[in-house]
Formats: sequence, C-alpha cells, structure tokens
Amino acid sequence: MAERPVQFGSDGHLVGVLSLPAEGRRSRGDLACLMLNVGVTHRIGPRRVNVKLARQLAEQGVASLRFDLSGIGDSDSVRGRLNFREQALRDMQAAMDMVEAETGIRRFAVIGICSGAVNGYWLAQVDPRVAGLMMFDGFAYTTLKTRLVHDWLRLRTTPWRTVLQKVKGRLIRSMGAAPANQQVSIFNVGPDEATPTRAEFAAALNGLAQRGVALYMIYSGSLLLHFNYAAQTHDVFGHEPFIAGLRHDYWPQVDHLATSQASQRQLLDATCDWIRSIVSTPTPSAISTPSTPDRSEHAADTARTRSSASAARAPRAARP
Amino acid sequence: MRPLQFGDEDRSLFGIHHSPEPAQTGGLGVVICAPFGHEAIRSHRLFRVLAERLARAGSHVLRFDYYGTGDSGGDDAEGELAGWARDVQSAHRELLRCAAPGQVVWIGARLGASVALQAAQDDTLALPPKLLVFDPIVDGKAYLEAMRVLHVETLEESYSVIDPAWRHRLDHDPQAYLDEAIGFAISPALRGQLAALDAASLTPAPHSAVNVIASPDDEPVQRWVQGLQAANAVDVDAIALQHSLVWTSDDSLNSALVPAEALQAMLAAAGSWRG
Repeated sequence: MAERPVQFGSDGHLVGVLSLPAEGRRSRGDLACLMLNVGVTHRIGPRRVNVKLARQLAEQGVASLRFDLSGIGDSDSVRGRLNFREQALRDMQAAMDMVEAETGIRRFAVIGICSGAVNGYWLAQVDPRVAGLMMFDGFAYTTLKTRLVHDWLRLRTTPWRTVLQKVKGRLIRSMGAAPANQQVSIFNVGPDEATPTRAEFAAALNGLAQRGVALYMIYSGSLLLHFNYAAQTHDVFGHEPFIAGLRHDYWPQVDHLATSQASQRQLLDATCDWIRSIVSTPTPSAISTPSTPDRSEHAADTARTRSSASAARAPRAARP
Repeated sequence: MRPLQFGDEDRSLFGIHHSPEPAQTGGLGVVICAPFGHEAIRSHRLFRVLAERLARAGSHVLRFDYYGTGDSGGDDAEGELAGWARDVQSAHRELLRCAAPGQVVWIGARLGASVALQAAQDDTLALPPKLLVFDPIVDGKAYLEAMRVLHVETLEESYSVIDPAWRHRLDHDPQAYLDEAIGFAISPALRGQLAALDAASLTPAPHSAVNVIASPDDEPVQRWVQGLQAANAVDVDAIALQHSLVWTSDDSLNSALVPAEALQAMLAAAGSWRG
C-alpha cells in the first residue's frame, strides 16, 4: 500500500490523502472510494475511521481518497458565491477528477457518515461517476412504530415519577403532534428545506437505482428518535423500486461514531464487504460528462487539479 | 501550506508545513506536538489556526501526526510514547532541513506536551528547542483512569439506550477499558508507559527553557512547575490560564473549536522567543 498527500481543487486549496493498493494487489475492478468529512472532523474521520477503512480497502486492492471539503480540516476556504452544498459538490467532483487523473479510475463508491451521507446523496444525483453510495446515519424517515418503539425503550429506562411528568406534558402537547411518516433531519428537531421529503428521497434513490448505483444504508444505535427497528426502511419504502437492490442494516450495538473497537470492526468489515460486492460490477449506464452548474468552470477546475496533484508530490526526506 | 511525508520509509509520518510569506529561511521554527487520540481530533482546528498565525508572523511551522495516529503510517496499537518522542525529533530534523530556522520552539499540548518534554531530554539534538507546553500530562496513571471514565461516559452519551453493564464494568473491574479510549486502541506498551509517566520522568534537559501554560487550579502541573523552579536547573516560566477548551468534548457540541484565550496565550508565549 502507498499513501501520499495531495492538493487539488480550483485554487489548489483542497488537501487529501490518496491511498493506493500495492502493485500486484490492485483489483481488476475500476472503482475507487471517496471518503467524506463527518461534520467538522478532518479527513481522518471520527476515531480515525477513514484512515482505517482506506488501509483495509487497499489490502483488498481498492484505491481511496479521504479529503477535506473547503474550509474544513486542512483545506482552505474559497472566495465565491456558491452556497455550502454547491461548493461541496464542486469539491467532491474535483476530488473525483484528481483521482481519475492520477489513476485512470472513473467509477467511485462514496462513503458518507452523518453529514458525509448527506453530501454523498447530493453528489450521486449529479455525477454519473458515482457507482455506489453508502449512507451511514443519513436521512431517516419514521413510522408510527418508530415512535412507539422510542417511547417503549424510554419508558423502560426512565424512573416512574419522570414518566408521569412526561405523560402529562405529552398530553398537553398532543394537540399539535406531527403525523407519522414525517421526514426528519438528523441535524434538526424537525423538517427543514435542506432535508428531502420522503417522496423526494424515494424518487432520488429510485433514479440512482435505475442508473445502476449500488446503495447501502446503515443506521446506528444513536438515533432512537429517528431510526430504531430493523424493518423501518422496508416499512417506509417497501413499495419503492429501489428497495429490491438496496443493502440496508440497522446496528443498535454500533454508535454514531463507532466509538468502541468492536463497533469499528463491524463498520469497517461491512463496508469492505459491500465494496467487494460492487468493485467488479460495471455500472449499466455509460459514464458521461458529469453535470455541474457551469461546465466551463468545471473544465478549468480539472486542469488546475491535474497541475496541483503533480506539484503535491513533494520529495521525501532522505534517510539520515 | 504544504502537506508532506517525512521520516524513515518504515515509519512514514504525515505533516503540514506552514511557510511564512514572503518565503524566508532563518527566524523562528515551530514544531507542534499534538495531543493523543480524541483530543487530537478535537484540537486539530486550534493548532491549524495557531500554525497559520505563527506563519503570518514570520515563522516556519510543522504540524504532524505521530506514528499510528492521524494520517501517518501505522495502526493505533503501534503507537507508544518512546516512538512518539523519536517522531518529535524526526519532525525537528525535517523542520531544520526545509526551513533552516535560527531557533526552534516545540509547542506541545496535553500528552503531546509530555512527549515533547521527554523528546527534549536528548541533549544531542542539533539546535535544541525551547519548549512551550500547554496542559501537560504529568500523572500518567491519573490520565489512564480519566480516559477509562471518559470512554464509558462517551458510550453513555452516544448510544440512545444505555447499557448499565458499561458502568458496572468500569466500577468493578479495574482492568476494563484499558485497551481502548474513545475510539483508539491502546497497546500494552503504551499503557505501561502511561502508567510510568510522572513528574520525575518529565524533567527537561539542563539549561532548557520551558514555558508552561496551565490552569492555576491544576495542582499536579503546578507542583511539577514548582519542583522545576526549586531545582533551578531549567529556565521555567509558568503562565496561568483559565480557558474554555474542553480537550475531550465532542467537536461539534457547545464548545469553542478555537478558544481565543488559548490561542492568544500560545501566540504570545511563542512570540516572546522570536527575538
């Protein structure tokens, strides 16, 4: 395995680490993984999980890039009028451009945890190079059973006096209770305009599935209010076409940031197993030029990316 | 700013070199010795901002990840204090190679401060560094115990349904949760080194200059500083600072990523050596 730091992007402002499998271990599949930031944590990921994943993937012959979006970690911000999502899309596409320029690989599996899952979701819809999308604790959609399970589990662990107070408060609030099947942002208490509705989310995933994108959704044991039983995905989306090809897991024993060593092993092994399943599967659609807000700017970014990636190969210090 | 790799081929280290603009050699060079594990992730932004400010003031700065941490080579379980001390020395040599500073300061925080203090005990280093240590760990046993407790607290905060077995194990099994801390494996070697880490093992080389930033309420650190001052073999300056940085907090929740008072204190202390 070989790892090296890279700089790329419109202003050479993005910093990442490219992990390449050793010669002779490269898989025959044409696929690389893109690992995204989790919140404001820099590219190594919470608990260094992106680094651990990159190295395990390299052992099975798969290249990967972990990098920082503009303004996060070691990447600089850029001047411009793009909002956060637009800039993140540009950054992620610049990342794929760089990997493609360095390795020739044109298919990508995007691995997103939390906010990374959200960014990956948006990227997959605009860039046909995305052949796989893993969303860990991404958007979650509830059912009535979600609420009942939540209430039951809370009841079991709450002192009875506290329960009585909460029941009284719930009765008072129940006049304005939200209906079941509401979309819930994992970042906010209620729905917001950045969170797709259930129908929008389903339509997006149906579109990705039709394009042949491999989809993997995982929910942890940290989202009690939003996701708390194994069949929840099926209960919400059971009639949607994408469900047939969707890989999905509910891991109540794994927390949102994979804190324990056992949680990390589960997350890493499952991710690598999923990658192994798709690495040699060609995407049915022909890979065409990705869509961007401004195609001419994307071409210019690509040219600057190639130049920056070459310049980033700083000489290693000689052995003393 | 330039990401780079340095060190031996079988012990590759990742670093970020911040150069002053306009480019220059000589002047002050700074090596930043980060905390360990979750604290390193928590304080990543703080030390990036510190490095940028120092570079803007004319210093070359090298931030880096110890072996077995961050983007450097090695698994978690390969990390241990003696190796990390050698990594600090390797970073020092890399900074001398690429910046030719006239003077070097090592800025270490938390366990990174302790590692820097031990690394600086090597009196064969070319251009021996001055040391700025922020909240150093001077009692390794207490630090190990604090990490055990924090690991369980993190589990309890992270899961929606708390397993009472975690707290029970913590309270009744002194060997529980010694091999991992908030997402990072701790090898038996590291555990043994931490258990042996104490004030006596952190005596700087004679004639060193050390600035210590710590809360006046941090009794173990204050006792260590007083001991050094009484021995009078080292030039020690204590800087009292009450700051809002919670080294172990989740970096997204209710705790300033870059507390201004901590940043200013480190800039002022490092700047006093710029000459």
